Amino acid sequence: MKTWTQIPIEQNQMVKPENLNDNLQSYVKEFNGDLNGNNFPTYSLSDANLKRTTDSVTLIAGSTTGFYVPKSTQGFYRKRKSSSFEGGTDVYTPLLSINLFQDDWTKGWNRLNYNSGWESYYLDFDAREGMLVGCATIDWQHGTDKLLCSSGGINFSGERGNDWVSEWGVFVNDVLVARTGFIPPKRHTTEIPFSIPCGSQNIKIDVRWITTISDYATTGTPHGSPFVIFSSDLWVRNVVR
Amino acid sequence: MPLITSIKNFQPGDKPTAAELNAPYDELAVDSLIIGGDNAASGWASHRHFQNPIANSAKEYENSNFVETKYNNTTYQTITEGGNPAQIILNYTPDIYDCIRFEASGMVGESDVATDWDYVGANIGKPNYYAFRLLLTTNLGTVNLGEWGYSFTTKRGDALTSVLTPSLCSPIYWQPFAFSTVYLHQAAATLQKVELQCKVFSNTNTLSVENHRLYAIRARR
Repeated sequence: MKTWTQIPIEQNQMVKPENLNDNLQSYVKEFNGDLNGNNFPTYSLSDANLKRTTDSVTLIAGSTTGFYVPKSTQGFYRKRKSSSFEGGTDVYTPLLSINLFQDDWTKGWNRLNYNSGWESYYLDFDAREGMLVGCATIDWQHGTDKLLCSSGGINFSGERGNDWVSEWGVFVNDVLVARTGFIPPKRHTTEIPFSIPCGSQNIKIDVRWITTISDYATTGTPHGSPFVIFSSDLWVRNVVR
Repeated sequence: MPLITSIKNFQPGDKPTAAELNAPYDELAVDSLIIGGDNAASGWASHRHFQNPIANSAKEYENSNFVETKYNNTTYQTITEGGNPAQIILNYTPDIYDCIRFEASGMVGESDVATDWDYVGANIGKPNYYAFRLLLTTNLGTVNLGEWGYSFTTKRGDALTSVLTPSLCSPIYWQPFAFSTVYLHQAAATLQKVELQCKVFSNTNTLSVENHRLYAIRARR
């Protein structure tokens, strides 16, 4: 707000109590909690003026690592599982292998956090009204399989699965908000940026996958090329102001 | 709490002392230097009050020279083209719990692939792989921000028991790569630089890296 001298005091004027009280209290009232946009120049607020919210930081450790860091103008929420870090091996060793010949997958969207050891791999936080802007980065592979045929003294080695395709999606509160489109067989680090408006509400974000298998070996190993995950890094920024 | 509390409400007949009259102003002289949230009304700030640099700030390295560089190193090496390492000089000290987003992307060109078949044993499938890493250097040491992999060809299958060597699959040319992560600064340190690095599992394969870019985005409070 703006304020001014309530009772100007003139030369030789008798000093009355209200002259002192009203003038001072007008400014004190302003200073003691009524300063607002009229008192501060435009473009005067810097990053250092914003409140740091270090008291509400949550660090997540264990086989899934991450953090929840709400800040003044935005909050960061992240979880990661990686063979190089949480898995304790290296970037060449899968952290999760899903045998597509078993009944533990579907032709629809498969939740990554439905796999053993991955149960806590989703973001769960109370968002403030604004936008969710984030990215899922998944290092995965569904490569082609070898096919070895031996018959009548003739050995033939080939491949199968060049028409297999896979897809990843990001779900916010069970709503698909971003998807990759079909990706042909290979090892690939897939980055899925996403953004969606949100209210002041609880938010759950997870990643899911789809794959297809068009052929089937009748001899030998039924399906020698499992769907494998090397790492997954999911983060989101809750932009509020 | 920077509020003025030394106010006396004078009544008729009072004889204010100099100290009583001066006290609120003396307190104002001190408190006006530490104005905080208690002094301001709720919701007072509008976007017009924010300085322009209040937005998240980004630093960028971009190599768009259409010149490939090739790598067959089996330990991480910073991607360098024409003497220019793929790195961003940061040189600043974040607050504790500052968040910095890092993102890298680029193009793998025409790699030379000699080995993509599987070994029997612990290295099944691995000769087909190459990987990237983002390495952060601080005044206290280095921080591995993340590692991400790709394959030279489509091949993955395992359980090869025959002496037959499967034919080499065609290399995947012109394969874009991209990955991102968020770094949480948890201990006092000065961030010096972040680098984009690569390596291959088998040095019989040579990775071709074309255009690439690197971003560091410092999030504000």
